[in-house]
Order: sequence, then C-alpha cells, then structure tokens
Amino acid sequence: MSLLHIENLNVSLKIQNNDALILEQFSLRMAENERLGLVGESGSGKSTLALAIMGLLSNNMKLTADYMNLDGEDLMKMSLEDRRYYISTKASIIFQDPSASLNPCFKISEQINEILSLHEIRGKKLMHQKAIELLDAVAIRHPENVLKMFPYQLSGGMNQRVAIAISMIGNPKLLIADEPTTSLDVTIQAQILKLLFEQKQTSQMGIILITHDFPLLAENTDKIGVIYSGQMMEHASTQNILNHPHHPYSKALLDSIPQMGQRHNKGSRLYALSGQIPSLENIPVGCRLGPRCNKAVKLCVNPPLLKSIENHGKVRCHSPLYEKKEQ
Amino acid sequence: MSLLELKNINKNYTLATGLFAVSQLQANININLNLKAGKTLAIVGESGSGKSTLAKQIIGIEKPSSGDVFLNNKKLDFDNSTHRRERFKQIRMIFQNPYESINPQLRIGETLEHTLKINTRLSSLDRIKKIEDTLLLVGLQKSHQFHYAHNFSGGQRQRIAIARAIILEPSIIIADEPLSALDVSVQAQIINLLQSLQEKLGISIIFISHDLNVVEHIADDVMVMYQGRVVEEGKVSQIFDEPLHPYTQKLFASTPAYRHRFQRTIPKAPVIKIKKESGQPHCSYVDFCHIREDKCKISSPEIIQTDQDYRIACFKFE
Amino acid sequence: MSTSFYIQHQVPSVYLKWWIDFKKNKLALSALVIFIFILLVAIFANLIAPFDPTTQFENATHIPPTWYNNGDVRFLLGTDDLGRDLFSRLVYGARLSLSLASLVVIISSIIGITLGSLLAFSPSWIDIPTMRIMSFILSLPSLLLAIVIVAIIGPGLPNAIYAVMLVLIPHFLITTRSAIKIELKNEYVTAMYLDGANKFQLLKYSILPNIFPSIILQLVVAFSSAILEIAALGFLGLGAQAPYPEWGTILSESHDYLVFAPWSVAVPGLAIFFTILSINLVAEGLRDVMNVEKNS
Repeated sequence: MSLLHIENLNVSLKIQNNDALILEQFSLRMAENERLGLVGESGSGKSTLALAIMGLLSNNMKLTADYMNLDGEDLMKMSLEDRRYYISTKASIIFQDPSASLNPCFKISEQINEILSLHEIRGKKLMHQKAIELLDAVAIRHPENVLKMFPYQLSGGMNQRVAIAISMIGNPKLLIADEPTTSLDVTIQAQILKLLFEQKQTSQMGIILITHDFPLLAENTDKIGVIYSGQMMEHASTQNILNHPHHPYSKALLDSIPQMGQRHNKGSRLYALSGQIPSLENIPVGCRLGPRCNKAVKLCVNPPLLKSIENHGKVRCHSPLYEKKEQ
Repeated sequence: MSLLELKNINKNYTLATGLFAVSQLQANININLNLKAGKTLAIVGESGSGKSTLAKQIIGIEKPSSGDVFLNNKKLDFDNSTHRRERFKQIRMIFQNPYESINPQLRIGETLEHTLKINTRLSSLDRIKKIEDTLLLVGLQKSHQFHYAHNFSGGQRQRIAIARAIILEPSIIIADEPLSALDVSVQAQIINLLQSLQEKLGISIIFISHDLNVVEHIADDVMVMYQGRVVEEGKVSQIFDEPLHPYTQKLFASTPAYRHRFQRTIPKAPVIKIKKESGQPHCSYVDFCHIREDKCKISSPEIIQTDQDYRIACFKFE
Repeated sequence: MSTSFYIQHQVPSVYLKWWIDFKKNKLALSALVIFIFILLVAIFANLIAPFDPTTQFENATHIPPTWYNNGDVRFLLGTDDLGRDLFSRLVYGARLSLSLASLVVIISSIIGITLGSLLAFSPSWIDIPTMRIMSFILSLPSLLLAIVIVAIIGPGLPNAIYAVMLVLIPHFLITTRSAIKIELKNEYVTAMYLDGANKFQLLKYSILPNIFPSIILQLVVAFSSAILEIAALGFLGLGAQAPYPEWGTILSESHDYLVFAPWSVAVPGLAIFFTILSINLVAEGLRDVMNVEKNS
C-alpha cells in the first residue's frame, strides 16, 4: 500500500486575471517507509507541492486533484477542517530556515508544549519529561538548558534540531523536509541529515527530501523525482536516475555539477543548459523544457505525458535518452 | 613572480558587548597569500571563517588592522588615493547576490559607462564600443545596455556583474560566492563563462566558495580557512587527493560527493569546550579535532611550509 | 518582469514605467485629475471668480446657493454674513492655500533635505543626538507644535507659515537621512565605490536616484499636511486674519451661522476635504508604483 498517492494535482495562482499553473498534472506515488527525493530549481514548484500536501497553500492559490491519498484516506473527500486535523496527525514538515519557522517571542519549551497539547499530552510534568525526551532524541546536549532559551540564542543547526524534534511529536507517517540544510554550513548539514535519517529509522516513516542538491540525494534516497516548471519530469529509483537519466533535463542537471576529480583543464567546460526556467506568465507551448532542450524535435510542441519506461521509472519526454538501448 | 601578495594580514573588529565593555573579534589572523598571474585561487571555509573579510582587505574596502598588501610587488597604501584608484582598477569584485549589486535606477549601459568615465579617458563613442564589446564577451546582447536590472534573470544579472568587473581590463577578479544565489543549471553557465574569460583575458581569479565540487573544477590552488586562520593551503591536487588537516578532512567527509573518496571514516572525537576567556592560546579547531594532543590546548600552531606549494597549520605535521 | 526571447528595443525609463503603472490605478488617476482641476482653478482664479473676494453686497447677506428657492443667480454658492460671494472667496482661497502650501513645502524641503543629507554623512556623535531630538519633535502632534510656535511668536499669516515650515522640516530631515542610510548599505553603492567613484559621484548616480521616490512621496504628503495645517491655524484665528479668503478663515467666520446658513460652512469644508483627499490618494498611488516600502 502506498503512503502517499497523488493523481493529477493542479495548483494555480491568479496573476492579473489569468490562472497560472504552478503545478500541472502532478502525479506521485510513494510507498510506506520510502525515502523520496524531489529535486528542482527555484521556481519549479517543489515547495508549493510540499505546502499542497500539508494543506498550507495561501488563499490566492487554487488546488484541484483527482485523488490525494495520504495513508489510506482521500484528502480531497474531506471537509477543510477534517483534512487539516487528519494531516496534522499523519504528516509534518520542516522548512529551510529554522529561525523563521520557530516563533522568536517564545521559549523553546513553550513552543514544544504548544504542539504537545495539540497531540493530547497534558500536565506540566509529563510535558517537561516528553520535551526532554524529544530534544534528547535529536542529540541536543543539556536539553534542560535549551528548553529555557529563545530561538535567537541558538545557532541555526540547533534551531533545525529543535524544529525536527517538534516535527516528530505526533509520530507522523510522512515527514516533508523542504531544503532542510540549505541555510546551514557543510559540516552542520551532514549532522542534520544524519539525524533526520536516524529519526526515520527509529520511527518508521516515509520522508520527502526536497532540495536542489543532486549529490545530497544520491546517498540518502531510494527514489528521486525531478521537477521542472511545475511538472514531474522523471520519477525513478535513485540508482536509475544517477546512472541512466532518461530525461534530458535530469541529465543536464547531473552534467552541470562538476564531477569529482574534474580538475582545472584549459578548455574544459561544464555542460550547461542555455536560458533559465520560464516564468509563470510565459510558460512555453508543449514540452516546458522545449526552448532550452538540445534534443528538442518538432514533436515537442505537443505536451508530453508522464510515461512508464520498463526497468526504469516514469519519464515525461517524447524522446527519452537511452531508449534504443532498452529495445 | 606573484601578482598579488598578502603579508601577515590581521583584521580585528571591535564589538560593543555592553554599555562600556568592548571585545575584539579577530576576523583574520596572520594571513599570507600569494596569487600568481592567470591562476585561480579558491578560498574555502564555512560562514564565519573570515573569507569574506579577507576579500574586503584585498580589494581595499576595509583597512587591515596590520599587515601589507602588495600588487605587482608594489606595496599598496590604503589611504593613498592614487594607490586606491590603481587598486580598484586592477582588482575587481563580483558580489554574491546579483539582485543587490546592480543599481536598479540606472540602465545597464549607464552603470557600465560610469565605470568607464571614472577610470578611463575614452571618448564617448569609444565607451559605447567598449560597453558593447564587453556585453558580447559575457554572452549578452548589445541592446541589453538599454535595459534595467529588473529586466534580467539572476544568471543574466551575474553576467552583467562580470561585465562590470572585466570592462576595466583588471588583472584580478575576486568572486565572493558568485554562484550561491543562482539555480543549478545557471551555475554551470557562469562557471563556464568565468573559465573562458580567464583563458581569453589571462585574469587571475580569487574564488570564494563553500562548494567543493565547483572549487575542484575551477581552482588551481586552494586555501582552507577556519575561524579567521588559514589551516591548509596547496595545489588543488594536493588538497583534494590527500587533505592532511583534520578540519579539511572533516569538510570533505561532510560533503556528499566526496564522502566516498575518503573511505576511512574519521573517528569521532568527544567535543570538548575550552574556556575561551582564559586568554590561553589554543588551536582553533581543538574542540572538534580527532587527532588533538595536549599541546593543542595550550598553544596555537603556526602555519608552516612543508613543501614547495604546501602549507599547513597543525602540530602533527611540524 | 520576465525577459522575452525577442529583443526589446524600447525599454521604458524608470519614470515612464511609474507613470504607466500609475495610470492603471483608476482611483489614484481620478484623484490626480481632481487635483489638477483644483490647481487650474487656483492658477486662473482671477478669470474664474465673478467678484473680488472682499467685495461686500450689503443687501445680499446670507443668500443660499443658486439651486435653493431663495437663491440668487449672481451668487453660485451663496454669500456670507457680510454679503461676500462665497464662490469667489473659495476660488481665491484655493490660490492662497495652494501657493502658501507650495511655498512652505519648497522652503522646508530644501532645508530638511540638505540637513538630512549632511546628517547621513556626519559622525555618530552628531547624528545620534540630532536624531533623538527629531524623534522627540515628531512624537508631538504637528498641529499642536505649530500652535505652540504661533503662540510664542504671535498670530498672523507670516508667523503661521513659519510655524508650519518649522514643523515640516524634521519630516524631510528624517526621511532623507534614513533613506540615505539605508541606501549606503546597498551592495550596488559598494560596487560603485569600488569603481573608484568619489562621494559626490556616489551621491549623484547611486544614492539620489534611489532615494528620489521617498522624497517625492514626502513632498506630496507634506503638501497635503501644509494645506491642512495652514487652514487649521486660520480656523483657530492664529493664521490668516479676517479679510483674507483663506479656507480655514472662511470656515471659522461662518461656523457661527452653522444653523441657519449651513452652506457657508459646508462649502469651504468640502473644498478642504476634497483637496486633501485627492492629494493623499495621489500619494497612495505613487507609493504603490514606486515601491517605497522597501526604502522606508
């Protein structure tokens, strides 16, 4: 059974009387206990997807979907309030900037207690005990002291640990981590990621790791979804994508990262896509990668569909790479 | 022969910690740097390691607390306006955030023209010619001179910033995290542009970054900084194949792409906290170091030259 | 805005872009039209007004506006207690109010902006105490401050103008100083400094064009508050004195007859109201198109 199953999710934003689609025909299936990585550039809609799953979209965005199943229940069939409550028991989210997601006016203990009381844990002593357990679990030394502090007194890494601790309170089945380490230093990044996946191990949950950093996904995920301009371009297992990216965009992303051991040679150049990600007002006709793609052919003026490819995964492209080899 | 040389640069900031109390923050400690013509030197470090402060000392926005900067073997006097003019012309800067480093109220052509007007004696026709040539050189079009910054995407803005840097035909460009505000697929475009410009114009680049992948790709020499000090410095092959300083090793072990290269996992050292107020000198990395000795807690290692192009600050290698 | 794939040969200048955006805001645009109308009335007051504002028709006091049954065709908006044509007084009043307000704003802005620029570049031991004093002045209601100043230097139109000027100077000073301070922190100013620009070039090319929006906005806002304060002082009998057709003075002369000649109060009151409203709506529209929030 799948933990998360989304069919044809569309999210639109009103821009000057036009509905611009931030996410278009987005489908996603994720198994229980899976580690899914979503990779995309800024403006590709990956954060919007996270907010859509969590039911946190702002009011000027419109969401439609055929089906949005989270742990066995269809969210689209629920009333707004039911959906909000249901999501809060099943899923939680960690944001990029921990100092922005924690309230600067309250002590850590108050913020933890607030969420604890939402999950029916009451009583001063019990709450305190539970809070210390939580902070212990995210490897914070001296949790008693940290509880008495305000977020600004802690470093970014510590704040992110607290945010992870808070997100663990309801024993969620799904954890969405939206660029959890982007604002942190490299050495801290490694610690936070390690912690995140330890938590996953102990509490048996699925995790969606949203990032723009391919190497980060390589060693931490089972499957990768590549998002471009609001569409899922390729969705396959991590090994398949890294070794045989079928979509030209996935390949371009991988090639544009300098490879290990590639040293300063005169005349050597990285592979670079020309242009930039299209803005919401002028999304190209047909394949959204079309104007930037060096493999584009006449056919690409028709929008491609997300098709399954045997022994690989799903690809949204008219002429996927490696196709001949498989036939 | 070296193009740019820094000798014993120190930079202290005075912080007001209370009503009358002040404390000193040492942002750069005893930094020596040697940049050769046409080469790329990468400065690597985490935030707070003093790499941006160092860039400010090199370019001349701030005056170092002590130490000298030599350009073409000529000592640069910070307060001398002729020296400053020459320095600003020879050493150009590319900022991290292209959304903030371009004046929004001026057309791109005007911005570039001011740069030329201030620094050269070209006639107005020659200036326009130069602006158009430079725009083409960085992969933009001639007509882009009539646009404003808000007409451009991040990648194009960074190209404009590069145009502004190279228009005076400098010998050194300092790029302070020039990629971190850009998308992945655009980052590669900018790296390629920097490399091709370097090959065409023979410019030296000081490339400040925390992205080890990019550094390995673009740099000739690497300098690793930690808490205001240089801890290790050498050729890219030396640093990336066999980093010796425990902090550099930690840095590689923390970066996903490099973790596999260093199969031996670094033994975890219990973190100790040394009272910083005691005034006792100590190695700045002693708290986290896995090869620390008692010596590291009572004295600070000097950076020493162990090889032709290699320097390290660690007692283990003295 | 996004770039298109095609070369645009005509990129509107920043100022033209402001105007294009401003035109889209229908409310602000109609406010601008009303304000220009008031301005034209003030400029051509001698052509528009049928009578001299001080001419008294002794047998025609308290005549209601023309559209009342006992109105008089000669007096469009009626007459006051001394038989002076209200319409003429109103039209000349527009000229008086707007010209006084312009004078006040021009002089106080020149002083305020100059001092503000100097303050922005001065060392902190001058800057900080001055700012404290200015904040203290700004914390007092400006009308109250103007009344206090007039009370000290004595009532009368010239003194009222000095008072309003003095009250407006701190606003310009603080706006300019903080706009420059914010501007100096911007990276593009550093970039220009690294081009070798001297202080004057920095101010001219980098700072002034970018603080221009804040200053324009402050000018417009100051203009509306100058009109209001001059009128208020006139109403309280501290500003323009009796025969002057100043709006506040007209209002105070006629408010005794509020019950049986309500038009004589309503007409100058509405004139002040519409003038201030139109200016403030224009300011609101300007604030939107110039994105001043980011500067102040």
